[in-house]
Amino acid sequence: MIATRLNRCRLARRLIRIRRHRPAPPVIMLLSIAATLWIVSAAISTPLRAETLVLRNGEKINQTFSYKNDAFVLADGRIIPRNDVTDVFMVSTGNAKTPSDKNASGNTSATSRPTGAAAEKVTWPPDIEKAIADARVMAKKYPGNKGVLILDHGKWTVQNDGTRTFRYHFLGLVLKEDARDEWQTVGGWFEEGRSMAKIIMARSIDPDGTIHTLDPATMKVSTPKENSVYFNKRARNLRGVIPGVNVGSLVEYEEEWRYTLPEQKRLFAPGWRFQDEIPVVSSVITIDLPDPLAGDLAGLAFQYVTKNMPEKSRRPVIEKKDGRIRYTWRAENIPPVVPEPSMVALSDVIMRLECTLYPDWKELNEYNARIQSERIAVKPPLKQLADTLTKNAPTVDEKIARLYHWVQQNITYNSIKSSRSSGWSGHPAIETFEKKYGDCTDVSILFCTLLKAIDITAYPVILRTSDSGETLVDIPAPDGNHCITQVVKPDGKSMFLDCTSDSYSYPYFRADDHGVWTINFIKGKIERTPVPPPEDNMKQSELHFVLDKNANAVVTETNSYTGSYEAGVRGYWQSVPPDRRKEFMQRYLARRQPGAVLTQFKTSDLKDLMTPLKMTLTYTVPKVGSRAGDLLIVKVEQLERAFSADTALESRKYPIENYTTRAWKRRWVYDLPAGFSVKSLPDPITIDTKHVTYKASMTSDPAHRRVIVKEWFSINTRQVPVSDYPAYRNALNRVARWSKNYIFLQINSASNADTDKDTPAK
Amino acid sequence: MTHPERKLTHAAGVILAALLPAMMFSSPVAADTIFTLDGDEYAGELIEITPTEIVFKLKDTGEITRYPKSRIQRVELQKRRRFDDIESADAITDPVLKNAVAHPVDPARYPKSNIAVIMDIMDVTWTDDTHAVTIHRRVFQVLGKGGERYGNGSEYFWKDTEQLDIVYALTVTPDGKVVHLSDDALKSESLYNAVPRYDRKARWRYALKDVKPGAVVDIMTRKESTPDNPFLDAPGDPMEPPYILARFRGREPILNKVVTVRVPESQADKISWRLLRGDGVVSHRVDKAGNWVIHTWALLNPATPIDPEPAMPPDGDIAPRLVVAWASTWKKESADATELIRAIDTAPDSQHAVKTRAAAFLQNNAQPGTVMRAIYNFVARDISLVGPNAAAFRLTPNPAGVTLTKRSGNILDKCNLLYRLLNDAGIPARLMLARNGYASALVDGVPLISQYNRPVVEAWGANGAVYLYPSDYLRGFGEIPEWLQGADAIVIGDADGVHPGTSAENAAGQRVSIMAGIPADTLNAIAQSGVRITIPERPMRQEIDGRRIDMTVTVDSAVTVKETLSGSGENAIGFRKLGDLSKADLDTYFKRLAASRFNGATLAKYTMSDFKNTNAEEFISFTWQADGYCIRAGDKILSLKMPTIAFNTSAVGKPAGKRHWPLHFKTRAFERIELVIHVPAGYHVYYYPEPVQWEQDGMTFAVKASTGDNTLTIRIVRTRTAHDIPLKQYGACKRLIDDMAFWARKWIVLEKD
Repeated sequence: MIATRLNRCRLARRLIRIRRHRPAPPVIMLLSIAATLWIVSAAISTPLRAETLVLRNGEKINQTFSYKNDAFVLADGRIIPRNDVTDVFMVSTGNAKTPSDKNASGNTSATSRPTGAAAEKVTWPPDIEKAIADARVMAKKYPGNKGVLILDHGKWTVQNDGTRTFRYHFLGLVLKEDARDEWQTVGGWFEEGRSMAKIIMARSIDPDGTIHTLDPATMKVSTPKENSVYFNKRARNLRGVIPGVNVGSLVEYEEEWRYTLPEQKRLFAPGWRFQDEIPVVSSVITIDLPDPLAGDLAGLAFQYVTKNMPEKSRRPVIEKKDGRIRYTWRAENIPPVVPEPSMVALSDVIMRLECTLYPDWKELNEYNARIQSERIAVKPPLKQLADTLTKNAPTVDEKIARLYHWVQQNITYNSIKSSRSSGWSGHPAIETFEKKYGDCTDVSILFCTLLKAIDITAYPVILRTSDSGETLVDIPAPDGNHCITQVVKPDGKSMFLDCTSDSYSYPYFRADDHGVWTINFIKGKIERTPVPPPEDNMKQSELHFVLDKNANAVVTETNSYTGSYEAGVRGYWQSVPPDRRKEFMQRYLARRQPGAVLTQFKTSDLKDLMTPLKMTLTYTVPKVGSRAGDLLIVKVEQLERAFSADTALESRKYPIENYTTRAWKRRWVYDLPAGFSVKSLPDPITIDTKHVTYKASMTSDPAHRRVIVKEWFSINTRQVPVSDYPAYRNALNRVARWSKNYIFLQINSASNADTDKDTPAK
Repeated sequence: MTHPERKLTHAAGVILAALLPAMMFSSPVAADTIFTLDGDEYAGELIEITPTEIVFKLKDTGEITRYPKSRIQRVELQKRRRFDDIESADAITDPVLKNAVAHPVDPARYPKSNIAVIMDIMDVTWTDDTHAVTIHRRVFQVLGKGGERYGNGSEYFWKDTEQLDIVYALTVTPDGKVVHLSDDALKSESLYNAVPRYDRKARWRYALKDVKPGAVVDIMTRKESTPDNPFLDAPGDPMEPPYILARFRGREPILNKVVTVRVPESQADKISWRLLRGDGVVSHRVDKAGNWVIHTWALLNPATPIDPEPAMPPDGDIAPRLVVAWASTWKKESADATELIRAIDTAPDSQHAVKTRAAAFLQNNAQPGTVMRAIYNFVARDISLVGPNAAAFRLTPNPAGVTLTKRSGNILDKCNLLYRLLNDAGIPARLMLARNGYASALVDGVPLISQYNRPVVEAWGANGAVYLYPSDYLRGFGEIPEWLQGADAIVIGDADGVHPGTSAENAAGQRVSIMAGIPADTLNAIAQSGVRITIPERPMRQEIDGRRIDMTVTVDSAVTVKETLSGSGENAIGFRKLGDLSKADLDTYFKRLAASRFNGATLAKYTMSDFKNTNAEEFISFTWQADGYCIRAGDKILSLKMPTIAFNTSAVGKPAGKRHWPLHFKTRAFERIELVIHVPAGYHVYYYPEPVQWEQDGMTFAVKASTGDNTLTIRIVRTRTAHDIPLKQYGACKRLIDDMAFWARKWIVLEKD
C-alpha cells in the first residue's frame, strides 16, 4: 500500500537527461551533409533574438527597448504597458552560433525535400542496404515485434565555451500498426531561450521505394501539457507527422538539438541506451570533445561507465584529430528486452552508457550545496513557526515529528521549475512557506530550515525512487527524480524523512524511497536509505464472526496499521468527506462479500499523525458458507492470496523488485451455532525463508464451538535476485495454495439449518 | 431569499459586467522573477531597464540590485490583477466576497462535500451569432481536505478563435489573509500538440496558494470568441455557433448560481432556450437595459449536491439544465452542416485522389458488399488514427483527399474519407454526428449541432443500413462502440448528389446508384429516414462474451483446464489488442493468465484467432495444469470451486431502500459460459450448484446442468438488456445480482464411489 501522493514527486524534466536519442554512422552523416545542398529550410516559429518582449497574446517583439514606470518604450517609439508583457528576454538562442549552424534559420526549424519530390524512389548506400536486410532477418528471429530499429545513431559535439549540439539519426522498419502510429510522429523538446530543436530530414519509404517527405510547413512548436501539479513553462515541443507511414514502411529522420545557452556550461553528462523492447540492428553513440578541454571547460576530464554491455562493446573507439577527440561506442544486432512481471526498472537491465566531464564530485557538490544552503535561510516567520510548533515538546523526536507533520499537511504539492537552481533545489524556504505549495525540493528545503531554526541539522538529498531504477553514483553526474530530507539528531543518529506525502506518521517515510542511493551535496556523501523491517509496513487485523444456524454472520473487524500501509489507508480516507466514508466502506464490503451490510464504521482521528491509525467496523454478512449436502464450506474472508505476477514464470532473467517490505498479522474467530461441528481443517503451515515468512493455522475449539484462524505473512526483502527466485516462487505458491483452504463444517440433522440447498446429483 | 447563505440576487450578474471595465490595478504583491545566465533565479520587482543594466528590487532583502544585461537571460513579469492590493480580509469591499468571508459555510451542513460553491456567475454577451464574451466568476469555500485539490484548475479555450484571460484569482485563508495567483503557477498549454494539424484546444492551468479547509477562493475569467472562421476564411462556421450549457446542481453544493445572457434588442427574438427540470428551482426573467435584452436565470434555493452512486444516470439527466442558443431548426442545422462539408471537399486535386482510390476498389471487387468492406478495411486499418476526437478539435472535417494523402486523420476525418470513398464507389452513405450515448440526453427543444460530437458513417446495401466507425485496425466492419449503439445522430453529409456521376436517374426520375444498383426504394428509405435518426443497437448475438472451460480432475487433486474465451463486438477488440504483442510477450502474457487462475499453475499451450482477419468472433484458448486445485475433506470428499466464474456486485452495494437514483447501465451484457468437469474414475458427482432460471427487469440468469459419463456440464447464460431500471425495482435487481454472486461461490463436490 502506497501513500496517495507516492508518484507525484519527480524533479523537473531538466533532471532527465537525454537517453533516447539515436545516432548516425559516418556514412549517414556524410549523406545528410550532402543533402543540405538542396534542402529547403523553413522557420517554424518567430526566433527569439537579443532583447525580445513576449506579449500575453503570444506576439514576440524583437527590438531594443527600455523600461521604467510600468511601461516598455520600444526603439520604434511604441509604448507597451507592463501588464501586456509576460517575459523579457535579454539574450537568446537566436544569437548563439555553433560551427554547424550554417543552415539554422531561427529558434526552431525544419528542413525537408521539396514536396514535389514525393514520387522519388529511394536509393541506399550499401551499408544501409545491409542494415535493412539485417532488420528483416531480426524481424524473423524475434517474431511479433512492432518494428525493428535499424539505425539508432547519435552524436554529441561539445565546444570549449560550453555550447553543445546533439544530432540523431533514426531508421526503423514498421512491422505493426502501433509502430506506425508511434514513429510517424517526430519532434523534440527544447527550452525556450536556451536551446533549439530542428528536424534535418524526415520521411517514410514505401516497400516499393517511394518516398514521402515531411513538409516543414506542417510542423509546429507549442507548449506541451503537463499533469495538473507541474509547471515547467519553458518547455517547448516541436512536432511533425511524417506522411505515408504504413506497415512495411521504413521511417527515417534526422534531428538536431543545439544547447546554446547552457545554465551550467561545465555540466555535461549524457547517457545512451543501446537496447530497447524491440530488436536493434545498429546503435552508435559518439561523444566529440575539444582536445584539450579548455576555456569554460578547463580542468574537466571525460569519464564514462557502461552498464550491462557485452565485453566487446564496453570500450569506445577513440579518434584524435584536428584538436578534437571522439569516443564512439557501437553495438549491433541487439536482441529486444522481454519485460518480466515485477521486474526491476528497465534502465537497470539494458545495455547503456553514462558519461560526465567532472573528474570528481567536488564541483557538482559545491554548486548544489551553494544553492541549497542559500535557500535554507531561517527568516523570522520561520523561526516563529518552528518555535511555536515545538513548544513544550518533551523530546527531540517529538520536535522533529511535529515539524515533519506540519510540512506534510500544510504544503500542497505543486512543482514549479523555472531554472536549474529551482529544478535542483526548489525555492527559498520563506517562499514555500508563504505560497503554501511546493514540490519535493521545496518541502525538503522548508523542512531543513524549520529544523535548523531549532538547531537540528538536516540536509536535502537527491535520489531516484525505486521504481525508476538505480541512481547513478559510479561517476559524478547529476541523476535523480526526487528529493527527501536526511535529519541528523543531536545524538548523531541519522534518519530519512519525506515530506511530500501528507499521511506518513513519524518516523516513517515513503516506500519508494526505501533502499535507494541518496546524494547529499552539502555533506558530499552518498549513502543508501534503509529498508525498514516488515513490521514497519504492516496491517494487523482481528475479525470475529458469529454465525447463526443459517450461516449468516455478524462480524466485528478491527484493523491497525504501520508505515506505508498506514499512510495509504489514512491518505485514502482523508480524501473522502466524513459522511461519505461509511458509504464507501459499505460499497467495498459488498464487493468483497455480497449482501454485506455495514452497521458501524469508526476510525481514529485521521488528521492526527501522532496517533497510530485504527479502524473498527461491524457488519452483517449473509451466507458466509456454501451448502453442499450436509456440509457447509466456509470461506475465510481475505485469507486467500494470489501472486500471479511474481510466480508466473518458471525461471527469470531479471530480479524481482518490490517497493519495500510488508507484513500482515491477522486472526479470525468463527463462533459456530449449535448443531454445527468441524468436519475438516487443514494442517498448519510454516514457511520461513529469506524473502518470505508465512505461518498460518486453523484450529478448532470444540468446547466453545469455535474455529480460530491465524496468519502471519511477510515479504522480508525489497529485491529478489534471480538466484533466489526458485525458492521465492516455491514459497509463494505454497502460501497461495494454503490460503485457499476453507473451513468444512458438518451440519447435524438436528440443527434446523436453513442454508440454501444445492442440487444433489441424480 | 429564504436561505441565510444567499447574499446576492439576480442583479449580481449585471453588476459584475458593469464593474469589469473599471478595474483598477495597484502595486503587485506577487513577484517578478529574474533569471541569470548561469541558472539562478530571484523573486522581486523589475524597476528599470536601461541600455546596459536591469534594475531589480529583490523581494528577499528589499535590496535594489543593478545587473549588467549580459548576466541576465530573462525576466518573467507578474501580471497585476484586480484586487492585488488587498492583503487581508478586512480590506475586501466586493460584496460577494465580503459576504462569503463574513458568513462562512459550516462544513457540518454539507458533511458529504469537499467544497461549497458560494457563488457561480456566468455573464454572457452575444453581439451576433459569431461573437460572444463570457465572464465567469466562481467563489467557493473549501470544506475538507478533499477540497484542497480544487485549488488547481484549468480554463479551456480554442487557441485560434478564443482569447481567455484570468481576470483575477485569490484565496482568503481562514486566518484572514488574502493571497493572490502567482504567474509562476499559471501556464498556457496545448492539449493536443503531438500532431500539429490538430493542435487547437488549449488551457490556462493554475495552482492557487494556500487552499486549505476553511479557505474561500474567488476566481474570475473572461473569454472572448473571435468572429473569424480560420478554416474557411469566411465568418460564421455553422458548426461552431456560440451557445451556453449550464447546470444548476452538481457534485458539490451550489448556494447561488446566476446565468445572464445579453443580446442586442434587434436580435432578441433569435434566441432559443430550454430549461430542463428547472420548475420551482430556477427563476427566469427578461430585462431591458438600453439597446440590450437581458435574460437572467437564477437558482432559487441552494442546490444540494448530487450524491454519487455506482451505475447511476449521468448528472446531466438529474440536474436542472439550461441550454441557450441561436434559434434554428434541426433541418437547418443539418442542411448548413451538409453544405459546409460539401464545400470543404471541392478542391479538384483532393476530389480526384479520392475518386481514383474509389475506382480502384471498384476494379478489384465485384460485389457491392465486398467493395463496402474493402473500403472500410482500408480506412480503418491503413489510415492511421491521430489527433483528438471531433469534440476536442472541431466538428468540421479536413478534406477527404488530405486524409487520404497523409494516410492519417482523426476519427472525424477518417469517417469523412470513408463517406466520400463509399459514395464515389456508388454506395450510398451518409456522414453523421452522433451524441455520445453515455452522455446525458439531448435537449430536443434547442436545435444545435454542437449537441452532437461523435462521427459515424451510415452505409446502405442490399440488406439495409450498416453503421461504421473506422477508428483503427482493431475494429471490424460494422462493429460500432457501445456508446454509439442507441445514440441519437444527425446527418451532416448526404448520400445523394454529392458527387455527380455516381448516381443517375431511373425511368421514374428517381436517382439510383450506379455501382450498387440500389433501387429507388432504398434511396427513398434513406430520404425518409430524415436528418435525425437513432442508431440501432447491434443484436446481442454480435456482442458476446463467451467462455468454455473444460476441466479434467485427477484423484490426486490436480486439474488440467482448457479455457476458450471468445468475444464479438467490443469484446473482440479486447482480444485483438493481443495482436500487438511480440511472440515473447505473448508467452509471458499467457503464463501470467495461467498463474492468475491458480498460483503455481503451468501453461501447457495456447492458440488464438488470426486477428489480422478481424473475424466477427475472436477467441483465445489456453490450457493450464495445476496440482492441489481440489480440496480434500476427509477420505472421500474432493471439492472444487468453479474456475473464473464470479459476478460483480459493486453496482448494488447499497442496501435496498438506501439508494437515491435508478440503476443506469451504460452497456448491455451477454455472457455465456460452459463448464465441463471430467470426474476421475472411482468418483461421482455428489453435489453441484443448482440449476436456476432467474429473470428481473431486463436481466436474466439461467443455469442448466447435466451429468453423464463421468462428466458434469454446467451452462450459464447471463443477459442484461435494460439500460435503466427504476428505483422501485432496485431491491429485486439487487437480490438477483447478489444471488448470482452467491451462486458463483458454490462448490462442486465429488465423492469416492
